[in-house]
Amino acid sequence: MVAEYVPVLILMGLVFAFTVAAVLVTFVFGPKKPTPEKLAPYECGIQEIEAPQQRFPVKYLVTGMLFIIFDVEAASLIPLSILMRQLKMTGFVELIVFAVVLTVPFVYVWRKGAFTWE
Amino acid sequence: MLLHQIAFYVLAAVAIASALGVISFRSAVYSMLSLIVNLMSLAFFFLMLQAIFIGTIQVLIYAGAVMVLFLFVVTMLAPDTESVGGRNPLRWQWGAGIGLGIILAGGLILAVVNGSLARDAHAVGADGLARQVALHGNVEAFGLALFHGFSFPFEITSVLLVIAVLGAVVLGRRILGREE
Amino acid sequence: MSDVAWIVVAAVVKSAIAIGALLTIFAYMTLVERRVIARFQRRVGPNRAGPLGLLQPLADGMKMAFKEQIIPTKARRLIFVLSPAISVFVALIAFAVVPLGNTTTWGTSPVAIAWAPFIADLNVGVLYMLAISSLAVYGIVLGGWSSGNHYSLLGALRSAAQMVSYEVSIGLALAGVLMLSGTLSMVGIVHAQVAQGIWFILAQPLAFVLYAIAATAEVNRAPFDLPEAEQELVAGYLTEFSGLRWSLYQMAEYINMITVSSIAATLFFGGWTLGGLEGIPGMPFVWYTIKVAIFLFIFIWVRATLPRIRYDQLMKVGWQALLPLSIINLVFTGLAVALGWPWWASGLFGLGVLLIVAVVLYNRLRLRQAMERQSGEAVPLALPSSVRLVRIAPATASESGDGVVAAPAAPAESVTTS
Repeated sequence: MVAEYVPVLILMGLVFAFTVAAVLVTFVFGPKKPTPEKLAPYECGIQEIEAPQQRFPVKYLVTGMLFIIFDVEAASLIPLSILMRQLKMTGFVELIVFAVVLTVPFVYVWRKGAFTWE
Repeated sequence: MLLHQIAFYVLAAVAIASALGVISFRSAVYSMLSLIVNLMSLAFFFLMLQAIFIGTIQVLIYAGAVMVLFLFVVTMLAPDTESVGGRNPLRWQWGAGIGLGIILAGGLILAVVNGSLARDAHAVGADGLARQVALHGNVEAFGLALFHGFSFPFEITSVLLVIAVLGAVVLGRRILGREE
Repeated sequence: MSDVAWIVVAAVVKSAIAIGALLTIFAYMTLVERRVIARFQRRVGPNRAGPLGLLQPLADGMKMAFKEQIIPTKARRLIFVLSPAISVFVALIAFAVVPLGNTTTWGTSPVAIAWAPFIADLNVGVLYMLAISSLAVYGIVLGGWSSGNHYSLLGALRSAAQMVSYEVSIGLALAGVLMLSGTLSMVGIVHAQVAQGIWFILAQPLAFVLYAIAATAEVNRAPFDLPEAEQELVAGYLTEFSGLRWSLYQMAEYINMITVSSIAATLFFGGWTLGGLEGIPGMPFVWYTIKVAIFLFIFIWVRATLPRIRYDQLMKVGWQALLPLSIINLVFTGLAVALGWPWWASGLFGLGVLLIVAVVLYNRLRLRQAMERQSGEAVPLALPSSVRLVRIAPATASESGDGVVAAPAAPAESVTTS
């Protein structure tokens, strides 16, 4: 008895071998004539003034957090979806309750402007 | 089953090594990458237990969503703050960590040696669950259990998510509030 | 040989074929894209290397391999070298669950299943694809971060926020199809369409439109190619990559396009079926290929037609339009399925919602045009405060000679990111 996922693992193994080969090939071919100018960060011809890692808008973080929440929602709704035929109205009521409860914070976040980027 | 055992020990080694990597790398990015490897090896553990749905969800939620948030934080760190060299200012954490770790390890070892976990697992019907999975398929078995037996906890999850949304907005309120 | 050995051999052979085929399609996809885009722009495109330029991908590959592979001094070497490989790895393994041929008449013995036209028929098929594609963000963000370059980091962060914003809509839009099919297995979804006698596009038009938009954003294609917006960010996360490492990123992008096209073909357009013509031996694969090819062509067409959207618009569309619409679609489809209504109930509902959205957008456009006609000048757009408008004075007649187009009266936008 071979589990159904074994072919996927084999594919992963082959792809892994391919990517390792691809990474190694990048070191083999091609000329290597480094100069300080060539290896400097690309700045459209001017000197770099400061390091790229700076303070970034916290909005990215808010987006990330909201994403986790709605991703969990989607992941919860997918098993419910495929059982909808069997669960009938019970399933629909569960779907409605879940959706309505999550609509409230969604509207709240919308009103707070979390989706409005400047 | 020999292959199964080899796979288990390899995965266990990867999981433990990457878990150690999370706490021992000085650079936050490498810590984060170790955590991703750790979460992926957990997904493979679920796969070995025939719980392919849980394994996939593990990748989708933890590796694909939670770690993206970590990625945001870590990539924005300035290079000089990313690795804190020298003496650790919070030395007492070492003692507390070691103490709590010993308690946790002791509890786990006790549970494994006693076999209490295995007994409980039989009590809730791991065999019955395996039969369900064979009958309906993985996702269906999970869903039927969730929506027939545990629909109240499922709906409570949505309330938990509401609280999480509010938390996210409160944490980001400075920037959001400035626009009003 | 034992069954197990056969299964392993079959998996190795099929995986090798899949990898080889995807890489070949990637290579020729670049050629097709350049030729087609050239036609759209009334150019000829690359036609020198071989007949019709058919050897161009080969020439490009050789050129890329023998270019200098630059690793900037500011880069974190290890992650910089590995991140293109992460992108390609994730893109290639996502393809495992796509059924490429007729599986209803296939044998049921283990060896027959081992040679079936898919690599694996996972019980969690669609979820597997979603999970794997959610990992695609790592290759891009780590590549951008490890470059040690402003443009790369900005492109990477934009791309991460963009990809996560549209991922949720993809999941929720596909959930509507899953309600109809009752299974997550890609093979099972095609079988469900055969059994119900329809393609799910008919029952889920709204879900398809939402999926199409979100998937385009997910693979960073125009008009959602902000991570590599060359006017603002040089090349985004790709800025510091050269030679083969750059090719690997391109490879990942094109393979992701093939994968999302395959999902669309399988979930909404019946995969390898074509109204009964799938009975002819060998033809199911052709039908599948044609469907995917049409989607790939639409990708190119859209790129040639639509201008890139602004970042605030991107976030607005993702969170304020796609997400609510996909939940509405899901709830109504749930109602239809729970009450056992026929498939056209949710189909009509989806078309109705699409019609309402179209009317609203059209009215908004008409309103703007009417206001412009009244006031005689361009009505200012509702722009975010970080976008500053620069008015370019109309060139006088003496300055603009014959054949020189005068500067447009419409304000030129100078976009700055906050």
